[in-house]
Amino acid sequence: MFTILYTLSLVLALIGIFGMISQKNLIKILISLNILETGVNLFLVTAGWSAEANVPIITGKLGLPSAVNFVDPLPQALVLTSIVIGLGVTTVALALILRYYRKTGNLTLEPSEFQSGGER
Amino acid sequence: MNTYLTLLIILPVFAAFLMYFFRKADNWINIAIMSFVTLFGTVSSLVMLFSQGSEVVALGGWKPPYGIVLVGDRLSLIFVALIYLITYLIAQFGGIERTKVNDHKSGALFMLLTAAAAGMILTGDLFNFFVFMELAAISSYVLIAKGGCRSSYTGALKYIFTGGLASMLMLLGIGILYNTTGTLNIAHLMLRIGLVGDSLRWLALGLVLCGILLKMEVFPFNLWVPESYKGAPAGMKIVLGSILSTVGGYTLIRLYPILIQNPGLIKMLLPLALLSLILAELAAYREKHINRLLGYSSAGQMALVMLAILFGGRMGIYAAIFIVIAHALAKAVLFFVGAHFKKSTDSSMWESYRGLSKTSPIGAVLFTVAALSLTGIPGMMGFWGKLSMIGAGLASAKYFSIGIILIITIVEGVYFLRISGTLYQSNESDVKAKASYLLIPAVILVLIIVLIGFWPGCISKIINGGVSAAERSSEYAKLVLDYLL
Repeated sequence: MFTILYTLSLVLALIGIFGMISQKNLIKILISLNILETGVNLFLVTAGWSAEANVPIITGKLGLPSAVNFVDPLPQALVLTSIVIGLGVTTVALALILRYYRKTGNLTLEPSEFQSGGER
Repeated sequence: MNTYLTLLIILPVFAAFLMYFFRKADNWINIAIMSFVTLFGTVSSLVMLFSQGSEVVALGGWKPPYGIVLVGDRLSLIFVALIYLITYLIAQFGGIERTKVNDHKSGALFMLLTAAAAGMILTGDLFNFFVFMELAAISSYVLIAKGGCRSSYTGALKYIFTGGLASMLMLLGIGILYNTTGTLNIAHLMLRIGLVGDSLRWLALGLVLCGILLKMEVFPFNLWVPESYKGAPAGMKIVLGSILSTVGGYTLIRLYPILIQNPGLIKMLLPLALLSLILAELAAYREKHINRLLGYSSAGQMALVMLAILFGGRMGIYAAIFIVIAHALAKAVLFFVGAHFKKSTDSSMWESYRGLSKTSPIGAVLFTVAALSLTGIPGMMGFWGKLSMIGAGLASAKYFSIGIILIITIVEGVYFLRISGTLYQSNESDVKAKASYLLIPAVILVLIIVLIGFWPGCISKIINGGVSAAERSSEYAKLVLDYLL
């Protein structure tokens, strides 16, 4: 089960990386970045997961063995943070893409801009 | 004393929120807030550095390997003082009109960036480092785009995508490290990294390095450099060149005890650093746009820092710290003077600066001195860094790399002296010097460069303290995990 989860999350991350490299459209690159993020987040959650363990929430029944045996909560906290950061990056990127579109009228970074542009 | 370390991160964040309430007020209030906060940071970190040295704050009272720690030791305090000094100069002297950190939105972002940079240096936790890195990244995306022209947006978008890719790879690496060692605390990691199998350790460290190399502008993570440096507002250029790359360099120095346990990884990184050095400096040699040229030169200098760390040993780390500091100071001078030239001639092409030494004699002198220091001419600060770097290379018998470094230094000298030569050519044009206030911070920084250049003894004690703190993992681990060992 672990192997499947790890493999799937890494495959998702690789799909994202492939998309970021192969796509030209800015929105599609951004979506690929989000796919990569999801893959990495799933990988992190998997790291703390265990089939027999419980949800890491302390309930009233603390004395019971089932309540003591819970999954590692740290990766979940990390993923929560990383999701929020991902949201922020996506928002900023979308706003910038919108500005870029209004300024230039297209949604791709022109190859000519990789070379020396004109004077500012 | 404990609270000062936390204040270094909290105060700028607080100032950023405060600025919202003064959005309708005059500019000088914002500038006053920013200057006060950054000046406080500079003074208090210098006081801590000179008074006793090391300090560890366990946030929330959680003991080190479990909670997040802030570590202000002899190494990190040097760099906090350095970045606060530069942010102070930007806030105080560059804040008027030109650098666009004047309106409250840019001011708030600039303060968040300062907090994030200080946090990246002070934190002792790898995931916390990642969070601060993203905070710095998001603020810098927006600040670059504030330039408002086409290349600002292009640069910011490229930075977002390379930055997003690199930071996600870094997060994956952090995940693998946590999975295998069970800790995120950097000091704890230094002790436990040996337990991980070879290939997995390479993978994890390589992924973590992606994020750091992005900040250091090392090839292949520096595709965003030319456009961002061209399009960013002047204050942001200084931040990119002197603060963010400094933070990247610091992190690599901090991780040295972990890196040194992986000779294979070092063998892999060495060609990368050399390639980055050659490509960046050759690109700078061909460049006509002054800001892009300075950006390429930053990338080259940071590759030099990486080489110094890879050479290893006390001497290598000494060289790395020295070059990072010398680069941060000199690059800030060059950008301040460059902004002054741009304002005076209304052009960013250095070929049009012909004869500017007549209109702005001080500017021309400052530019030349900073350029000479970057190249490593004796009597300037950069010389001592390059000297100990070559010593480190000889000690570790990396003769091929030394040869390349020396050749590239000549290239660097040629393209900087070409600009200085242009400044001193005679020309009949009658341009007026504008925005001369930008020269004040440059004068201050050049005085520091020359002082250290002629009398390196005045900071070598502090740097040696930093070297000891960086070199031995045992010292850092003992500081952070004192009660465990």
